[in-house]
Amino acid sequence: MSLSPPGIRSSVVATALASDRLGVRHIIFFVITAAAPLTVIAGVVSTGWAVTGIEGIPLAFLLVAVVLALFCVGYVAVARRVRNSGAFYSYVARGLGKPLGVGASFVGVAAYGMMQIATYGALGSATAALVQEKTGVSLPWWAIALVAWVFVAVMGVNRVELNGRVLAVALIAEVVLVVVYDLVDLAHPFHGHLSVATLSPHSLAGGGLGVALAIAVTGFIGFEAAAVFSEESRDSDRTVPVATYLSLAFMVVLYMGSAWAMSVAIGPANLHHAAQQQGTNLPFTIVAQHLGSNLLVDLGQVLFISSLLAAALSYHSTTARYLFALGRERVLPGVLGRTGVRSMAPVYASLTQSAAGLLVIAAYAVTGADPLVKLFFWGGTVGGFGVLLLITGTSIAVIGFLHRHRQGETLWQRGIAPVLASAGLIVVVYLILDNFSGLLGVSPTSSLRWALPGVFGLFAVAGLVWALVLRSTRRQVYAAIGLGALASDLSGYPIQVPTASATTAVRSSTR
Amino acid sequence: MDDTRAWPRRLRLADDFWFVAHDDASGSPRLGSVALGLGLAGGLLGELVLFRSVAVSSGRVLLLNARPLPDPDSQAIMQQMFAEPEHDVRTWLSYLSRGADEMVAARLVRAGLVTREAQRRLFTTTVAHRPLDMSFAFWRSVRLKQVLAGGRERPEWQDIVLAGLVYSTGLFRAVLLEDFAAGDAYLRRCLERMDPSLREIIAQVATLVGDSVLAVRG
Repeated sequence: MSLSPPGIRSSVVATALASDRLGVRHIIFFVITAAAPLTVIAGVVSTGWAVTGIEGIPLAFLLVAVVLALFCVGYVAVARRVRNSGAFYSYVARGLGKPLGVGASFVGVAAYGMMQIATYGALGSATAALVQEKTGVSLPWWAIALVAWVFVAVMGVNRVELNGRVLAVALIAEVVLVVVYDLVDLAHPFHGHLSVATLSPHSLAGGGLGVALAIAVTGFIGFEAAAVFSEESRDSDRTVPVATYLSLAFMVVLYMGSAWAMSVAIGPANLHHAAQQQGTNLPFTIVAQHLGSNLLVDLGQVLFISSLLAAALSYHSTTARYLFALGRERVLPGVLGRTGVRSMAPVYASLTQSAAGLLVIAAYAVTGADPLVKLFFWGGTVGGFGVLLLITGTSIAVIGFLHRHRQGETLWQRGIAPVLASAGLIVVVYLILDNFSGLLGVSPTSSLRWALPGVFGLFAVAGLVWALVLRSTRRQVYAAIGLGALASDLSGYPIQVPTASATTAVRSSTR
Repeated sequence: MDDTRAWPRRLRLADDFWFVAHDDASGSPRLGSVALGLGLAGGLLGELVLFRSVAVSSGRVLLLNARPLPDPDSQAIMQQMFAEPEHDVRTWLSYLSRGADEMVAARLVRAGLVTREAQRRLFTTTVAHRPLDMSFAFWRSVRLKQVLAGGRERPEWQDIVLAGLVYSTGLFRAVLLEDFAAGDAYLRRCLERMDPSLREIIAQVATLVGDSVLAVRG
């Protein structure tokens, strides 16, 4: 792990390679688009109030942001050193060993896959509601979900990327609209009183804390994506950390502010009831009450749907990338690592995720289960919990990794912050697990309260066992886990995978 | 050029990759631009290894000598490597992949194997390269298949490197079609005995192509 000294003279090669690298703004745009603000505010927060009745969601956003910010200190330090093949699991593999790395990768596939499929539930029900309101035609939610599914499946296989400018316009419109809503909400407080009840610790008393934390965690998922860009960014020493912290700051201000503004306008005590009545229309209907015009409301509903679609696409590509990364390392069948010749899309990985999506949509359609609560909210928050487990594992791995590679990092970066973050994350995981029935809105004796989080336990154990099987039966595959290399078994001969260059960022040579 | 006796039997590695990776009739690329560039870059670097000018080991490019090379493009690459020896092989492959298509196509134009023509689209005009002799272009892929069938062609290392690069860029299946399984097994057997420098180039190209699939460009 030797890093050559920072470039002393200008290099033709480095200049050429840097010419189309990404800057902070580009990465933030990507992260926030994937996080999809309206999906969080209209979808996750509103449904959260409806299902759980916990008022303190705004405060929970702040608490989670603090823990995640601590996590990012060590996380971005590792991102500088480990060439990320697009996944957390390479960090876990390098920090805690390969068996745990594979376990983490399986949890990641399950968690991101769940979050992706969850978006179809809200896409279906929100669009169906909008169509009925405007035209009187009643469409089944699953028909709309299937249209969205086809769109995502086709985009995934062809690796068509939505035009960056279109995405940017939609995102800016979304954010501006949310801010306008917040101002309208705050200008019309319930009973003329700007209540700060949802920001006070009392609002999270009792079992509410774990539930609100789970909802907040779900909102932040996507912030971790900035580190994926470490190799593509202009200056990985600076760009990725700045983009990560700014994204996190932006999200906490927007989410906490909006959730609080909604609680001010509705009145904390009325949130549960209002959210149950209005569903994902909650932010829009409050504004409609105060403004004569419906334009802002219509716009909001349309942007909510486009935001859900952006989230569906983004989680789809995240899951497909995980499967592809595992396929090309031959941890999972090699076919998942195969790409379209011309499109360079991870075709089979993408199809696998699409097949899972189709099965789930079909199962919900056949059983008639509620798509908003039982698909979108459950899938989203349980998936978010899975990603939280992955983040927690990564956080512990970061401590191990930076303990062994301590050059250039301060004690705060390599020790104090990662330990605090890991402790904080473990507490959050414990609180969520302790209140899982409250999160799902089921009785505390329901078997689902253990069954759903237990899915990740199964996946983790399956990954761990599989890694041990690989260690004894396919040593070359095992040796390459987390290195992003197909190298070793291309020839069936152990190619000297150059550890130094395959795993350390070429930070000086690319300046 | 239709007289097959006039066809050059040997092409330089990157030139051969160019023919396999482009449509024999239209000259349009059969690969995505990133994989195409990386495959050609692997070819250009492989040429230097075959010339015994460089070696590749543990991620580094080792410059063996400053012997002048017959090809001006190879010579230019060598000079760049001497000027900036600090870069690893991954960086060199990424760097060379940028202009590789243009560089190799220009070389083929000079050799009289490819023609350069302006293609008018609706609003823009793009420059494309088309093989002058379709049969020759087609034959390069067929020849590769024959080599990998272990048939009458006696394989040279250059052919095996070519096959390896075709494999690394994801084109192997499309080139071999029904002969995939046999060709795959044959390639693996050959790779075991291959010069480690060439084997590492193939592996690095595969890794870079995979990384480009994982790279998100929002």
